[in-house]
Amino acid sequence: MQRVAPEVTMWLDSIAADAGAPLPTHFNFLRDELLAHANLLQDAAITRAGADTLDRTIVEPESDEAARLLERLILPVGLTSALQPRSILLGGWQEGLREHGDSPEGIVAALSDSRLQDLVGKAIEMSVVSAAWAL
Amino acid sequence: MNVLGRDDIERALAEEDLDRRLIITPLLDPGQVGRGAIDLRLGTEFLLLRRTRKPGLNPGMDSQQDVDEQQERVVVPFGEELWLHPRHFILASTLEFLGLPNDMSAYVVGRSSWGRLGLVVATAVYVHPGFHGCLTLELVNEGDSPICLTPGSRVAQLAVHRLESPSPAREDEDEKYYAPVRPQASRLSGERQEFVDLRRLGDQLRSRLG
Repeated sequence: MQRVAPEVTMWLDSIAADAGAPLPTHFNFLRDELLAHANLLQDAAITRAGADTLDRTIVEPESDEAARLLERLILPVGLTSALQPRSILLGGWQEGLREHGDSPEGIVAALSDSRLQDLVGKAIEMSVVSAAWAL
Repeated sequence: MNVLGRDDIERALAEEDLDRRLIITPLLDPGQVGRGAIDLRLGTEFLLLRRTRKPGLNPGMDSQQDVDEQQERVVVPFGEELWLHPRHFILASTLEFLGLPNDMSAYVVGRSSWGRLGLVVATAVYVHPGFHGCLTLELVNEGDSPICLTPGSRVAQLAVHRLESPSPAREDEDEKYYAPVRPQASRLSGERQEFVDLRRLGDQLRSRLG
């Protein structure tokens, strides 16, 4: 994402950097609990979604292909084999920010782009269907 | 204009240049590519005509909202069925997303095995060069017995033609059905002005002829 949308990435990083600032008491409690259980939560996410879920070296090459297909209005299921749903989702964001601008406003415009949403949603569905068919 | 045979179809599906590639995705089974056509599967979304208090459909007067309100969108998941009763008409779409390069067009026809049961895949037969999207299929049961439709089953086939020269879209060309991923209701309401013009033409001719 940093390569494709540096401005949005910087904006998100700046929001995340602010997380250490003082918060109302009830938010402090939530933040402390999340920090205390961070490893547990991460382990649970990896167990549920797969070990490569958070591995960008696996997801990003596929997301580039998804974005390339979306740019040509091709359903991004994958040219030779089915892309993983999370790669399709990331590819959708890459194409959305390329099309609508690398800015916070671009995020809103990408979320409002019904054609892009339809293509990404259908592609994720077809990716799951293709994987199930192959079993 | 030549019809593509199996070898040509397979070459077109594997073309490196995406702008010249024939896209059919997902192609779940390579056996869908036949000697002169590609079998297409039924998708999971359908548009059914509602019963309304309106007297009927009038493309010259109805707004797009009128048309949409007369249709009900239904999702039938894989493994479930939709029964199409005699003389009933529904809109469905292909499971596959198609992308035709600018030098190819195609015709969609029903598979004869289904036709012999009474199922007619009708009217939206010509696919323009450059079309991208899931095709809307117009299904009618012309038989006397209800027919069970199963999402994912192969109900139609696509015969692909190569044009003598590429025919890219002009900038002003209509894209009202571009890149759909589900069945599309008629967009004739977008041509209402033409119906207004035709009524005016009729009025003028009547007044001239006395």
